Amino acid sequence: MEPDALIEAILFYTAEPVPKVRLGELLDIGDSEIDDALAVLRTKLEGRGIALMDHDGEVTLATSTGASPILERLEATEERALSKSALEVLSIIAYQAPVTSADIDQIRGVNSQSALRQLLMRGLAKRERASEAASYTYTPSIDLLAHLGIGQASELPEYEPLRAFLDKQKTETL
Amino acid sequence: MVNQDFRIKHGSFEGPLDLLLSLVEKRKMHISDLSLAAITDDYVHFLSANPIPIGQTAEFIFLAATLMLIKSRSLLPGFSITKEEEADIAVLEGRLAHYQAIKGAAAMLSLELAKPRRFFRRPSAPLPKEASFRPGTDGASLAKALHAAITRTTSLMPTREKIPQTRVEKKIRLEEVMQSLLLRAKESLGTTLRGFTGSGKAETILGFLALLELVKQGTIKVSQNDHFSDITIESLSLGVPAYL
Repeated sequence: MEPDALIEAILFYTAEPVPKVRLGELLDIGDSEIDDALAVLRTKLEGRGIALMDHDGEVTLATSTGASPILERLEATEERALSKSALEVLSIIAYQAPVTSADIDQIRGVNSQSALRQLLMRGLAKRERASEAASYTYTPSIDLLAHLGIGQASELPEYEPLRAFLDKQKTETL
Repeated sequence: MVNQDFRIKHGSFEGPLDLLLSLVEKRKMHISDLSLAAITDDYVHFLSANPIPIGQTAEFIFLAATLMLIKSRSLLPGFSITKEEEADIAVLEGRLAHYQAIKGAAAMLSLELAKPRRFFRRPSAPLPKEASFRPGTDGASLAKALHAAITRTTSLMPTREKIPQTRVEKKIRLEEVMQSLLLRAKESLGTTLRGFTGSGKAETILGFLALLELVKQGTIKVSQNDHFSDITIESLSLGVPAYL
């Protein structure tokens, strides 16, 4: 069986994000072959009810955006809109990840802890740190991408130019 | 809530940067030292007309001081500023541009979030092949397992934020400082800025802001003999001299 089909089977079975490295181990093939296989799978899934998501070194299957209305009816979920501050913090995380909470406070000029906590609780941001001594950094969660209906962070609106601008500003002012 | 949002009639601002940015945008201006000089009055007026969250007073006043510097430079052709001050201004402009871009991104994200989303297949819990509760045979390993579980659970709970114990001692209002400065200038001859403010940093900045505002209103006259020397203040308002 082709690697893309095997990956599809693994992702369907696990139903949660799987590190690409793990796929390589399971299939016993290299990183670039995994990426090729993922590209094939992504193309084959075009127009289908499920789509491939690729974020932060992990891949998973999720439903296509076109199925959203019917699934929303199925789930009957209605989520409260995010506050203005939470949206700003979310944008900082989405476009400048990884960021620390100090970076976020500096950019907004105010303490952003409660907005940050709101995002963590709703699973829109992911918190991690390299070691006990390091400070936490925040990155978008794969759930955030799902909420936005995109498959990878680079599909965020205006991602490339905005990221470049923000990185430039950051080195000049932080 | 930890954040002390504060609101005025035409919207709410979170922090000095947010306020400054909205003042620039209200005038439909680009971020530059010219636009910042132009909105200095708006900013100072806002501060004097609205209560500032006490925890953020220093940030608001520091920004006011930088704005004053920018305005002074734009008004006085011979006014030279230090390299450090130059850098402060550049950093402020950079931070504003950065924050503006983030606000733009937030508006885009908010639209994106309203669009159709993706759903994940819910992982169903795999059925255990056999009932398995194996805490170990001795009490010590059970205690260890429980401890690990409790630590993991508590680490997931939101932690209470540490609120700094030392606070700004007293909230000083620009208006109050202006009034007491004016009174002082009326009552005694040869009032000086240093004599009025004392040596505290916040008091000096506020005193200076008050002085600038009073000069602008035309109620006092100031003179300074040399750079960085003390400023002498005279009242210009008419009135019977107070012989006390």
